[in-house]
Amino acid sequence: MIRSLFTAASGMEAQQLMVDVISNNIANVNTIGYKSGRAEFQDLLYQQLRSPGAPSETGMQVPSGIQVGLGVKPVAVQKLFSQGDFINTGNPLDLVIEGDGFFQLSRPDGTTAYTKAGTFSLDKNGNIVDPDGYPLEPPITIPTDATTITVAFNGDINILVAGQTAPSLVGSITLARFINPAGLQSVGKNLFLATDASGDPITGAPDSQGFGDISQGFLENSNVNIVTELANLITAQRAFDMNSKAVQASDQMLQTTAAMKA
Amino acid sequence: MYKGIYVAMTGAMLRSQELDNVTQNMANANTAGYKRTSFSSRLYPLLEGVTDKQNTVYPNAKAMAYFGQSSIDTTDGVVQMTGNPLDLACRGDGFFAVQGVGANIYYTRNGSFSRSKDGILVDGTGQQVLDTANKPIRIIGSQIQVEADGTVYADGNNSGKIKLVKLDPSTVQHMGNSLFSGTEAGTSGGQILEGSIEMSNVNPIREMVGIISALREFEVAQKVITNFDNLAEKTVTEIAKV
Repeated sequence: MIRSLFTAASGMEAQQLMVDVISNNIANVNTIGYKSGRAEFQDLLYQQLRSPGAPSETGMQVPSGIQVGLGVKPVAVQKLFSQGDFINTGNPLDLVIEGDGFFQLSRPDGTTAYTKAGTFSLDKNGNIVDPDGYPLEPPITIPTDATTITVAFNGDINILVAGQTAPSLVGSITLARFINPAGLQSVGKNLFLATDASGDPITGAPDSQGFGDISQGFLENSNVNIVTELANLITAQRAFDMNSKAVQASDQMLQTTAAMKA
Repeated sequence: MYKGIYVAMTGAMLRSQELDNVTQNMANANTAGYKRTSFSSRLYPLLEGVTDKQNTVYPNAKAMAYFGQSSIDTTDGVVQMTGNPLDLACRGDGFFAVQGVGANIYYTRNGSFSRSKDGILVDGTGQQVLDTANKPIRIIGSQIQVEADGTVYADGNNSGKIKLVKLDPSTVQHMGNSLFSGTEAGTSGGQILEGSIEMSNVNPIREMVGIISALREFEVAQKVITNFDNLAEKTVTEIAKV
């Protein structure tokens, strides 16, 4: 009886986590470069009350035993790295990766972060930086007299200086990809960090060795599918309700037991 | 004293066990690949020293008791599309075989797989998914495609074939962590669906009815025990009054 109380409680906790994850997905439905997450669960260990095949009290073999499970546990919030929708912005430093790959940014502490959000701008020194001021890695600086910036599909950045007719190359964007992107750690601000599970980053130029192309003037919106999220929200909420009913039933059983002896 | 009171007691205990079971199914309503446990009980006579007569009529029974048994319902769960190429749902009687390093082989229907940093196909707890030769599957490449028969292609190259086994139904047991143990009974004719996940086969209506019936039958058994108690009380206080 106490078992079912705690089993139902673990169920309620799991459904609560699922609602938390879904809420985060819905909250980030318009976040550039956001990748949706999914809560994953596994059943907890089982208590073996009677093994199948054991001799019964009457000397016969029990055809199937009794196993009572002890609930559910969350194991992972799996990120789904499918491509989000593209939004046409016309801004020359809004970039999108069509395919596999992350932009590399160097953080103030010297580590490298990875992002799908290509909302770049220039700082006062002409460095290409993300909205938090983290520069691209390797750094690319645009001279102050540049009038037009062109980013090619292979990541080459060309500028046109006033009074000149031929564009000049100022740098190339390098992308990184991971064998297990689901193992990346989300640290907020649209950034991911490499972990032992994701493996080391494999860097390369866009449009080569499996990396995606770069498109200028576009942004990648989140890959959250709002209909799926709402359907999952309903499932999670109803499962939560039903688990709470199991808590009530366990409580009622204890109550009748206590009332047995006046 | 009264043998009926013990029959009612075992009945009540069993109903509480049944509730444990129903609750477990409910708690795992959103666990991928979970298979519901069904619970059944029957009344057995306990014969005094006459074991071979248990299936005959029981006039000599000195006591009776309820015994429960649980079995795993391996019917297919609902398939949910996810779009993740390494989410694999299995249709039919197959199980995926997984193995931790140097550990036993277990079976699972939770096909939420990913690649380890070495490119090896692993499940949610890092156990390796086995191919038809019981070896781990290494997938190197960015375009991954899994055929219905389990053959994995990465950038067009064949990387191995995922093993799908049939398990002898009477040996299937829950091990926790979405794993099952059991005896292999040949290859399965089941099919793999890429980009989908098999959810649990828990039916909420059936489980809610299970809660109600377990609770009410429990109360009935308690009532019977209370009645026996009243009977005993009367025996002591009223009959003895003479």
